[in-house]
Amino acid sequence: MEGNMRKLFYLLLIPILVISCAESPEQILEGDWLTIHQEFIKTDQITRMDAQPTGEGILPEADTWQFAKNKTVIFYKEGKVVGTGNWKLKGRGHVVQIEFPNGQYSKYQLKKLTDEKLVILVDMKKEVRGIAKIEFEKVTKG
Amino acid sequence: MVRQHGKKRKHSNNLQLGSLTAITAGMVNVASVMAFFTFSSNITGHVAIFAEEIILGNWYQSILVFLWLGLFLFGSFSAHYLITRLKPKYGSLWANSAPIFLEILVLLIVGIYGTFFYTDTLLETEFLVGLLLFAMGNQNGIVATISNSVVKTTHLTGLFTDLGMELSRYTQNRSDSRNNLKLQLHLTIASFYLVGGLLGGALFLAMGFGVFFGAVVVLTVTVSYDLILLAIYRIRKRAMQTAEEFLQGNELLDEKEYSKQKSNYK
Repeated sequence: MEGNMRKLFYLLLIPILVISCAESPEQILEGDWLTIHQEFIKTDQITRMDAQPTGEGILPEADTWQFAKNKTVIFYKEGKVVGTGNWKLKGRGHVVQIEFPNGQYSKYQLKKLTDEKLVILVDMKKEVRGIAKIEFEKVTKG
Repeated sequence: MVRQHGKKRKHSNNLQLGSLTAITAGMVNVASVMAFFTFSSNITGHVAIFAEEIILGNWYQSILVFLWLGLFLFGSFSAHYLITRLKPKYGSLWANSAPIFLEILVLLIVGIYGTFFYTDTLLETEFLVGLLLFAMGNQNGIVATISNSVVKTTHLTGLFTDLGMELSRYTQNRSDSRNNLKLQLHLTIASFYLVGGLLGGALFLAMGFGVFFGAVVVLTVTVSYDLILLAIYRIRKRAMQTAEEFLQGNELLDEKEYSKQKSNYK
């Protein structure tokens, strides 16, 4: 391999090696996440968080979201199951898509995802105009 | 369409190449957004995302986006490398066609994997988006190399900038024939990119990953156009040689009749 070609090869190889050792967003997301704060941002009206929209931008009435390894998500409120669904990460791991048992699905943008904290943004397209921001902290690892 | 290189190319060659590759780029890019929520040719956007991920401390995503950028770059590199390496030995037509065959192969892999094996995991998404970025880098490298950077079809930022300036000249009556040709080329590319995008979106909704087979069909037309013309030319040339040999061997014909029949065969 020519010298210049070798440099180019390493330029691609090094990040491949680094990324293969790193923890993927899927692994970080797995576990139980407790809601610690939620608010509407970028909205032109004051809207209560219990104004539940339907269709795209679904906000489950839950205090804990459990993302399991088998790609199911279970929503809990005060310890009781209030909903289920299937989750998958899209793009570069910046969007989580949840499909609900009735066939509806909703997309949530992952604004921040670390081992301890999760912040998601939900675009409330229909009934409520604006973006919902929900902050979680991890209570149990997946 | 792909045989002529650089300054030998006519405006019509660039129009044909630009429109067909713009359809492919539009189809692939829209299908990529719908399937993976990520653009497959928006390098400016990816660089901005790369910077954002670094600032946010998302190292996994930063490296991933860096890799995607590298794959687009590597695609363009491969196209130029193949063309310049193969041209002296195999000529323009085969050298220019080789990277298009490579792009067809990559899109076929994405289409087949997506249709039959895709389980919607993040790793698969990252890998397939990487392949699409490679394919788009490769395509942009092909058209830019063989058209001397006159045609670029996978992103429209530069194209819209040029289009703005050309339209300004046009409205001020300062437009010469060269400006008019560029204006026509850029409007054609933008329009066909949009057509490709609409087609890609509709096909993705109708047949999922089968949309990539549609892009393969368009690329096959692009690459086979010159090959078919070459085959027709060779068949015709051979037929003319055979006819000439036949007429030369026919002693019954006089000189005048021989010339008449020869011109008929031509």
